Amino acid sequence: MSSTNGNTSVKKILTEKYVSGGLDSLTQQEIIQLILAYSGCKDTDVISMRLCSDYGTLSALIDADIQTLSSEYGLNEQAIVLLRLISQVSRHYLKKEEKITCLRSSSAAVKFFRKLCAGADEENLFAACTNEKFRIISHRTIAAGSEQSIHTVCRNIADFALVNKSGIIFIAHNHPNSAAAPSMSDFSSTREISLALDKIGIMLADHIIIGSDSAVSMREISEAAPFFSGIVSGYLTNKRE
Amino acid sequence: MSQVQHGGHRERLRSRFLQTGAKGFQQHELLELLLFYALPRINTNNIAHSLIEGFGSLPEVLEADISRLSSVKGINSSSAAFISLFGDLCRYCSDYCHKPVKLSSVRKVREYFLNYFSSVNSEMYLILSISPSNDLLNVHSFTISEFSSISGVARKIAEISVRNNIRRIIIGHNQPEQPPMPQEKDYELTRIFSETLFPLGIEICDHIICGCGKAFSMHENGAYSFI
Repeated sequence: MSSTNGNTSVKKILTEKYVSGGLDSLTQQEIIQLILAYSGCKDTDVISMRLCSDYGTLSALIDADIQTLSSEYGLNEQAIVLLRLISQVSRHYLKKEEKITCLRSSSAAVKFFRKLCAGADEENLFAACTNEKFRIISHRTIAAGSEQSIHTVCRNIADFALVNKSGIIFIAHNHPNSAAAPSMSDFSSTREISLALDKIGIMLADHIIIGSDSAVSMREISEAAPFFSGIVSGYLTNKRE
Repeated sequence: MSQVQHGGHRERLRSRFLQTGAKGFQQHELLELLLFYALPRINTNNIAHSLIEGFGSLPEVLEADISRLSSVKGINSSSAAFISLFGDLCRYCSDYCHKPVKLSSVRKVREYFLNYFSSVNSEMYLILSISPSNDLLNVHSFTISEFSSISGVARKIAEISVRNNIRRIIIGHNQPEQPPMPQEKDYELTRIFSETLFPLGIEICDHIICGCGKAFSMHENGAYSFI
């Protein structure tokens, strides 16, 4: 019981220090102690001192071997998960890229949707709607995982565009763990969606497919052209055969 | 009953994370994993979803300031502070060593280790796993006590390499107090490593020794014939 009380006060004091002075006001050992306190570890002061003298910094600690941390230092699963989480999020989600606000070209659209697909291991369908100058108004996940009927998808995309009062829509989906090359059903669904949106005055500007290490803009593929209704003017693509 | 289910859900999510890492996780699931620490005994799923929807993506949630975070339903000021702290810690670590890097030359590898060890005052080892095209894939850090018995280490490295599907590694050794010259035990360690790991199909590319703000590459200086 005493250790829980101890953790509560450690959390309170160190969090207050952080809120008022930012991360720089905490020492490495205090940061590690705070992580342990949030994870409900016992003896946070002693363990954080040992970890700090053995690993030096938090950045080295988060790369430490999981089994060593639990067997040598007695960290519980919560603490290990939290350290791992810092390591994984800092590695995969904070790659410093400029924020894309405008989908004026197919390469910008690929970059924008690739970011949305980061870490996904199942097929997702995203949509982004823009104003007439291709500035993004909003984006959303239309479907995730299980297959949905094409009609539901069309209705959801139309609903999304109408709610945001947008006339231009981009859609994208990912092929987890495989190449980006469009399948037959990708062509046919592009056709269906494009036609359905066209009827209500919304233009499907592009359909981006994100593969595990490549990406395809269907507007760039000349054989996909018949599947889109109409041409988007002002949208830059690198046409290829 | 619902309490029990929540407990099971948290356990499951955590053990899945330890097995696969962030790879198989959606952004809201990672956020949920984080909220477990700030919000005990509450269904965090809806809160994670509304945070992602409100801010756009996980990086944007982690960049938001405390007052905006605490305006989201279900987030109080202390849990908002925790999310912001986590974001700061991630940015701190990413500044230090988690930038995506291409270790395409010995000079870049030396710079990487010097940067990593610039704030580390204790003697320690790093094992970098790199892809065939020299992209940094993962970092594993080891304290000096873990490396004290050579045979135990070889076993451990083999275990980690196999578990993480590692193909090529670079060893880094930080000895802050001494000049970066290979000693008897460095040769010994390199030899044991290549003898153990070569049959497992794991290639050792280099062994870098750092000390006194300088780095020494055993490969570049021909101190060891790497396979």
